[in-house]
Amino acid sequence: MKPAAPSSSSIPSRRRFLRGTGAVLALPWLESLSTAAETTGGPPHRMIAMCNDLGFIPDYFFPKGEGTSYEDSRYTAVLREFRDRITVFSGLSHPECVGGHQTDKCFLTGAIHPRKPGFKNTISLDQAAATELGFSTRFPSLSLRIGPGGGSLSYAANGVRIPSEGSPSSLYRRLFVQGTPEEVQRQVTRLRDGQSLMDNFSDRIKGLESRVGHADRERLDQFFTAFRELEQRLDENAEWELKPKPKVKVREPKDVREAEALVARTRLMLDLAKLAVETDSTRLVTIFATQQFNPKVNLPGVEMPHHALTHQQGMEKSRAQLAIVEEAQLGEYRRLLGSLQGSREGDGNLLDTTMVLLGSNMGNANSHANNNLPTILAGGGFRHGQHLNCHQKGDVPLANLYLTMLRRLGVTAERFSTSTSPLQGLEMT
Amino acid sequence: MADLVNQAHDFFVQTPARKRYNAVTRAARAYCPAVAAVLDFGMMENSKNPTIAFLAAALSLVMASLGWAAVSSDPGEVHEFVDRFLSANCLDCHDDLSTKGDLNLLDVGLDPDNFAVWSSVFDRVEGGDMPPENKRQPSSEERQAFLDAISGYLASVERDLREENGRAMVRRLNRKEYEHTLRDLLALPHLEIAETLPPEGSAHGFDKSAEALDFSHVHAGRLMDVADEALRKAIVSTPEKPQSQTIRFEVRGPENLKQSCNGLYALLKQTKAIPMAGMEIDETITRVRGNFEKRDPGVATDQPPFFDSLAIFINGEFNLGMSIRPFKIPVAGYYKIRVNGFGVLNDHGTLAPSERPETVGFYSRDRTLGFVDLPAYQPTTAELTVWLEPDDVIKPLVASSPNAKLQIALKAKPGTLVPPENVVYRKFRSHGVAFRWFELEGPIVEEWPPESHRRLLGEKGIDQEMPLPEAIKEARVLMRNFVIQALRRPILPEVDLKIPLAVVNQKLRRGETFSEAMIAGYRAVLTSPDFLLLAGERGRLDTWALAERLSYFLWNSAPDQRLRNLARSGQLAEPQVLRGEVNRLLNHSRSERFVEHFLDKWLKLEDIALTEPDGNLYPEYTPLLMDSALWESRAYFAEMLRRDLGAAFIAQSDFVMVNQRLAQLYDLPGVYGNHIRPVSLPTNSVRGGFLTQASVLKTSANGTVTSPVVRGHYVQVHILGDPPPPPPPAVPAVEPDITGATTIREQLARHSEDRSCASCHAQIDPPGFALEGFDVMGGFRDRYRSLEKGDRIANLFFEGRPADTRLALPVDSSGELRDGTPFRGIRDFKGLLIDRENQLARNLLEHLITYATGAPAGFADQALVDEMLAKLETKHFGVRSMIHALVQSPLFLEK
Repeated sequence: MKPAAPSSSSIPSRRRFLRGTGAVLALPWLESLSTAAETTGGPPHRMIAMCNDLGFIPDYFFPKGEGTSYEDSRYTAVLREFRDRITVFSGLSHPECVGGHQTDKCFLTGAIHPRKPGFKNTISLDQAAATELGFSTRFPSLSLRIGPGGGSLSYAANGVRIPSEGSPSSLYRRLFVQGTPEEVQRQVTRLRDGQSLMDNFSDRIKGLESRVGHADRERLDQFFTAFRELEQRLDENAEWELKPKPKVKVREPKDVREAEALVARTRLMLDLAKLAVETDSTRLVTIFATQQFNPKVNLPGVEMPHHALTHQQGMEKSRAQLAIVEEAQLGEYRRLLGSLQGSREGDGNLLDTTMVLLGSNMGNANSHANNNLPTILAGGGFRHGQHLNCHQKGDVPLANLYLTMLRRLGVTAERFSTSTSPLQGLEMT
Repeated sequence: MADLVNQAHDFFVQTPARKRYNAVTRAARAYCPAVAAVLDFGMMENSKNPTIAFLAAALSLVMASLGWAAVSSDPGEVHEFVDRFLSANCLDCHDDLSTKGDLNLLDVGLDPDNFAVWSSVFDRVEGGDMPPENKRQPSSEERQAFLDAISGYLASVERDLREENGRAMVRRLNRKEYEHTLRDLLALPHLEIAETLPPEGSAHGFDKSAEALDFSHVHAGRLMDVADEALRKAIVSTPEKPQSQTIRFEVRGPENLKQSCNGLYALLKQTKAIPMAGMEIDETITRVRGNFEKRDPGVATDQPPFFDSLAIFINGEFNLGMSIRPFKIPVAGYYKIRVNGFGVLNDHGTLAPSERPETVGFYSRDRTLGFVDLPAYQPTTAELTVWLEPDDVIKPLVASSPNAKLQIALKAKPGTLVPPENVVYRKFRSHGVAFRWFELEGPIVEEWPPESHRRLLGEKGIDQEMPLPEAIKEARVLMRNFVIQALRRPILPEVDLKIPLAVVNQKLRRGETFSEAMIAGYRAVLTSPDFLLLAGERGRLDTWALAERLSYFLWNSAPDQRLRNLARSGQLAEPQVLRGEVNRLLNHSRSERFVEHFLDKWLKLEDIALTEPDGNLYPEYTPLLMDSALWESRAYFAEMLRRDLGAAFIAQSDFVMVNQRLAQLYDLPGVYGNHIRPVSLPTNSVRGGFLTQASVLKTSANGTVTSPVVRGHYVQVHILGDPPPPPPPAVPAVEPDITGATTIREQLARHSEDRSCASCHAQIDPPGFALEGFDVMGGFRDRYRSLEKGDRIANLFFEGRPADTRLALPVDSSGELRDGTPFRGIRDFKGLLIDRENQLARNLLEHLITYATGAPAGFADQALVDEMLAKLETKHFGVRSMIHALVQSPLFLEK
């Protein structure tokens, strides 16, 4: 089921990364990196990070009481069977990151002031890990989306959005469908051709840069970086292209097109995310669940559009309808945890080595607040089973949790984004 | 000078807040050339410290010219004036103690880093939102002087930035532009690749700016795949011209149906379709109901003479399998689809008279192929020419039918004969179409190999073998021609041919086929930065860059041969030539791309399908209605362009562009057929203009309900160009109650009892109130629909069954503008909009500027914008004139 990791370990790819981008990038966190993955032995660590862009009703989300003896909230009750495999956090948020719905792009980056004109994003958690862990898998990372639009949780080191895949069927084809030998050969040739092209293209960009002003030069740098990054990837991609793709029993899914089918759409994506991890096609997945386009969700008892509901949580009737939707979303999360736990790996199961983050950029979608972000982390080999209230004088940076996760993935970074330290209170088992 | 003061006074009293300052500056320029001169001088010459010097100059002169000798030209005093204004009017709330709205003005110096803060301060003060109503207000003179100082400063900052970069930043083609460019370059008019590229971002409302068009390794990689796919589609593999074939499918007898179209046979078995012999219902068919448990599919039988047509009543397919199986597509190309049949009106098993033609829609897997009309009760042949790809299928449906499906149970025991009285078609009333036969003819090939192939390989076939030297020579010729067409500038053979030819030659030397080598070379061109990036260096654009900007503006594609010739000769720089080209491009069918894409973004019509109206509340809503709504808006804008209709037509017109389906919705009698055409409106009609088009009304609603807040916001942003401030934190929104117990007006009234809500809602809601008379699909209403309370609507059917849709509380579409002007409904409101023709025009022009140049109209552009608007006023701001004015302005002619 699981193909062995290819011979190219993460170290040369990191070296290549530094060689390729060192000229244009200066990443504060990069200086302190060193590779720990692959040298520690044991199964690799993985991450699935998911953001629900309409948040959760805070009163139903956050439990009463702290520590291990917390009293389940309405929503954590949905996850009761996983109580010892999850930690519920309160008092986490991204400092200086306000701007209502526009903060979704900062969910995994923690970049500040997203509403400011000229805002430039920073690297996202998954990409920070991917740059380090490199091509240990067919896909260094997967950026997925549930819902329409062009949104994504993943951003490259220069703040450029990494497009997300919203179609389960095309994701399935990328993951599991092997082309005919001619198609494979053609693809490999194309990738190899591409490599030398990219080199030429980046030279060409450098040539153009000499003739333009500062702002244009910054734009052109994006192109330069993209071509460089692709150049590094093409070689690895070609290697991977020659290896057979994993075979799975699941058939190619049909995309769900009805705007209202939030649950069906979520389930398809989460199932594929789990398959991708299980087959070691990738170890890093981000999933952006975006409902801002405001469809009604086709669940019994729900009559009003989702986004509209979040804005009238104060009204009892709306609150009840919204809770139906959010409980269903948590139900899908529970299903994901269950299927990871059901997938054996060595002496344990996939959930032991897979961190599954569920959160939102909205602390309270009703008032567009971006503090006290609802956050749950499951699995990944942490000592869970607690409600960790981080709030002291104010919120603690969510990036502290991200730093802890980044380290869990095997990246020894000193800092990530706005982190001040690893998150206190979350210990490894 | 007293004149000017009076005018200024009147202006303040009469003109709505937004954009007042522009007009004042214009007035100052007009009355006092010296002011204008110094304004310009101040901006250009004081590059070391433009801020203070400019502030001083601008302030003192503007104020002096208006007769208020308040501030001297000393920069210190200017700062003091701004400080004084802030202390007197702003710092009560926005200092380090209160920091309301997270804004501490003590912390925000007037420097370029704080551009965004000051520009929002400007907007809020100019819009009259700040200082808030319940606080002491500055005099209008003070306010204006402050606004002039801030806007002048911000303009000078922008100018400094542009000194280095120009207005617009370098950008890549967006995915739609990439698709159109490849379509034109490769002669593949139906190439569809945009959807396989990553979705684009948005900046300033469009995907035409550098900020919206990120480029990551994912893009670079995906482009390689897409370019490859397109190139392979351009090349044909067979040397012989494919023969055209005609395949016919007769809708005659059950066996024939069973063989050729599952869906039609299933409908026949389920008794949801009416078999007909000639013009009569054929009652001789017998049906045995299937038995799911025994895996018995059931059967329909008929004795000769068989039925010779089948009438169906659905616009959706669900799991029926409507593909016509014999219609296989051997190669991509144009095909003719013919259908013979007639419209019917089934009234519970008898055929009722009908005057209207019915519309047949043909669909492939995820694609609408086209529509044809068939008249009622007159067997007629209709024909459609479509582009088909080898994996396409052809499915016929009745687009003009109201039913997505028929949800009526067939009463018969499994495995038994269906009793005649239980047949489903006796249980509903619906328009439909009786199909007699279908034909597919094609491919229709005029030349072989096709143009797309010849552009890439000349007369060479895909398997052409050549000695290496000849191949290398041939490759150079082909590649040179291609690169000349592909690059939108003069080519430098040494540079531009080097990379692609290196690719080709390397492949040829390795022994790969000529066509594979060429494809690899062409791919290198189509993914190169030179192809992807829109050029243009700071300052005035050269004629090549100008041609490029013009064709991506009006065609979303690269310049054609004529534009390139004019670029090469330099003639394009002549205003008359440029004007001629604008007209030529607008008159060309490729300008439909501009119309569609511009409206998709400007009016957000691309979002029309994001929500689906609740079927129980709006059973009349069909896919054809949504398509028609988009066609209408595009045709209307095209008509505005064609006739140079002015900004007032955004609000009102005495005609609409409709087809039969829309005419039903708009209650306009006598409009038959699916094609869009102009129709005059009765004098008291609520229709006319963009505002009351179904597309806009649908897009600004969500599936189930409309909200005056959402629609008000939509009008403020997209029509008036006056976005309201974002909602304050911790204020819950108000949404309509669909139980029918309270109206949205009642809820909003309660919401607005809170004073902090009231001030913003007084601005946001009124346009939404005026649109309350229109439901989510654009129908007119005087009562809200409900599923719980109210009186049932007669003769309304949902999936064949009587709908349980009710009319509840009455609609109130009256209101008053923030300044107190009352309106009784949509017609009054449109009148008030027309009074603001200038504002409508400014908004449209500013949207066009962003679309055409990739940079929004900034503070530094306002003088030019004002100048254009002043000239356009005599032409009632005609859209075509506006495009001419824009193209001839420095905004367009310079980077």
